[in-house]
Amino acid sequence: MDLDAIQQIFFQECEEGLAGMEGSFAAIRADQYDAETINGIFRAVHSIKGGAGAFGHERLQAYTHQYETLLDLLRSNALTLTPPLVDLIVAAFDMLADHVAAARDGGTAPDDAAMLARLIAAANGDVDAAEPAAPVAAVADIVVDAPVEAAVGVSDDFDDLMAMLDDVGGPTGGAQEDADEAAAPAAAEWRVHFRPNPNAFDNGAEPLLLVRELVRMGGRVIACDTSTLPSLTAMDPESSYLAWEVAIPASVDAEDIKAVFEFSEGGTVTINTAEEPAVAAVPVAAAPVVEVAPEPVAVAPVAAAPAAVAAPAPAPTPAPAPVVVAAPAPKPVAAPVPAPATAPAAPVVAQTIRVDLDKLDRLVNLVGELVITQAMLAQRLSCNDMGGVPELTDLDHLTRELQESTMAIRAQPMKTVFSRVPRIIRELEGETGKRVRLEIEGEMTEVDKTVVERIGEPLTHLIRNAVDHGLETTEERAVAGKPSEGVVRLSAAHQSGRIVITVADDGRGIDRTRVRAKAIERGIIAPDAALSDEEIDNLIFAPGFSTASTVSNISGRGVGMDVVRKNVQALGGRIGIHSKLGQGSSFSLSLPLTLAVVDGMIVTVGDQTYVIPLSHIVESLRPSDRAVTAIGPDGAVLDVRGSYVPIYPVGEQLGINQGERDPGKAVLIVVEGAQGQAALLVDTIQDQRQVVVKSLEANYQAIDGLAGATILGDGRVALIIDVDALTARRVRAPRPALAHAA
Amino acid sequence: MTLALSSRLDTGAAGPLRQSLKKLVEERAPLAIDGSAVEQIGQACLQVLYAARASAAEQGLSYQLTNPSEPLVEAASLAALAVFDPA
Repeated sequence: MDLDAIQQIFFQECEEGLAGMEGSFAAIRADQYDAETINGIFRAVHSIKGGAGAFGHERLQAYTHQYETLLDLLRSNALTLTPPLVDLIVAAFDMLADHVAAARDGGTAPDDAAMLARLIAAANGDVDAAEPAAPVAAVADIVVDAPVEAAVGVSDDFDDLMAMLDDVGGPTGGAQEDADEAAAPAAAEWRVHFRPNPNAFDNGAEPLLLVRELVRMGGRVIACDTSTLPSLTAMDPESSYLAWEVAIPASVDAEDIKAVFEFSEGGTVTINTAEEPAVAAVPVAAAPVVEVAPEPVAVAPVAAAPAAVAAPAPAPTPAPAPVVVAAPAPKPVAAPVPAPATAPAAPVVAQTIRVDLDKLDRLVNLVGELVITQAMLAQRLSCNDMGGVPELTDLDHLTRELQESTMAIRAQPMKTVFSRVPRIIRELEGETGKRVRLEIEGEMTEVDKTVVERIGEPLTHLIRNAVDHGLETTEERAVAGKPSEGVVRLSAAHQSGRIVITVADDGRGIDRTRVRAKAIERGIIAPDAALSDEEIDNLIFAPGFSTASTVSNISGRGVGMDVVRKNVQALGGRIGIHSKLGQGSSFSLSLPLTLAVVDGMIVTVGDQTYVIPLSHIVESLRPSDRAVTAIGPDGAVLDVRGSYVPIYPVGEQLGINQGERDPGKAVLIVVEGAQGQAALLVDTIQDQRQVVVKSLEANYQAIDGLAGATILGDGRVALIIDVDALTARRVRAPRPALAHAA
Repeated sequence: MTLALSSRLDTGAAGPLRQSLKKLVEERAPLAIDGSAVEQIGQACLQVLYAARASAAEQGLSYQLTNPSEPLVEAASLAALAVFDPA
């Protein structure tokens, strides 16, 4: 594991930390927060600071240091969280995100002098100091401070990062150690209940040494539980029957306590905080949860004991979550080793590991191959009248399940995208002066990583559009009798094998009269065109359409919405609009869950088979003679209910000679592409099914007009048509004569 | 008769120690134990001593662990086990 790789993990951790902070801010704004929320923010910043120090990102480190100082004061209640202070820490957070991005991409760190000055002022109790007089002096102070911090950071947090490689438990990951450290002072003292397994003496182990270690850390043994000790006659002298209750000062890191048991012979350990240090008799404050060690036989009997202590009453003050360590199975190390940060942190933590994306892609690819081979086998068997063998059905199910599971590995929650939205909203609020409340739903909906990565941009555009165009100004809202705060609702959900992402606002809705007038003015539609409401709504996606009277910074350049549609289509998605005048609009993006598989229409052109992605297809038809009109010597258009659509013979476009040229004998498939609608002329339609996409670029080279290839059930390769590129080609290089046009 | 504990009371010594103590209990002999020689004692032997003390109390036999060595005192207090005086 080299430094770069670890640094990579650090930045991933930063992303996660930042996303978590964004969530905390939402909670604070909603006034649904407690000390732990502040702690969480503090820990995230603290972790970033540590990593920044370890990797030499001095600016980032200096900045986080000051940010952390302020948060620490909040955490220890030295400062009270007032609305202006919330605004400040949120603004500081945005700059932190910029700092992290700059450190990651090697860019220039943002100019943080003013923000640092504000943070320092706020730490001194002066929240409102927007631009204090001497920011330079303040910054100098920090710069001097930084190297010392760096030196400390290297030893501490580098270990932390190394440990992360083994334990990427929760969203806070490596910050867990800090978590306990941060939470500890709030608690009175730790209460450790330790019951060694009956076989704890095996291999010469001595559980008492662990108790000794706890005492050495400052602990004191409160009681020894001898209740399970049998009589002298009945006892097995080489079985352990005792359990201990040890009180340890809160100043001791929980992680260090856990480390004591790291290499023990197995047993049950619960670490809790005592509610009141004085009440020594009360066993524990919070309900201990018991996690059993890998050896069920060894642990099962003793596991019952601590569970019996369980008291439902949670501590009134936010105490750290009860930490339960099931000592691992025997390991040949006798002496306790100092602080490996890898101990299981919380009772039920979803275990995760980081996997190199290349490895994952290889797996996905292999599964794709398997699916194809399975289809070939099925076809071969059915040719020999053996299509009905039950094993084939089983194999079919298994491969399908395997494929779904593999795809699920690549799946990521939409949260990674959604977590950036609050910041966008904040910026828009600042720019437009509108007040916006963001509602997010379904952020845990999972979708393929590629989709997650590429949906960000169109989504940002839609949100900007919703705030800028959708929502009215505060005054307009007041006139319309709406609450002054506009609502932008962002949601994601799975619907019939696709993910549907909706951006809705409660703004003014689409003014169809204006849209229509604008479209006529821009020459997008004819003045007498008869359009349905839906068609008018869709005009806003037309290239060059913009209804904003003045071009704003945010949107309104008229490139926005058509780019959105193009991006969404490139992902194999569709976009829909629902709008009610005066009540708001909602844009829904329907996307495939993965890009590795597409729904396609299998068509024949000459002796070739092609796949047209279903996401582009509007309809397919066999035209009447009257519907096709020749234009010039080499073109023709199709009359689709009054609007004319250019016809692209696929064979001609791709250089296939035998392909049908006569629209009357062929099938026309109306597609929606970047250039608007077009009709692709093919010989016949064979089938409609899911195909596994193989990259042409990776296996051969990019070919204009083709998006990729797939292997059909009979083993033949079929090329997947890139509808946008194919219909764009025509514009650049018209081909010679269409054989016939009525 | 006083039972003198041996110097090394690790897990392996727990079986023989239990045997000796059990024998005394069965013989209804008073449990007089001398701990002066103990240099090292683990949980297993402490358990046995504690069980013997309980058995003695149960059977109405006297129990006393005298002259405990420093390691023995330290181990017993660490384990929070009362093994010196009768129950």
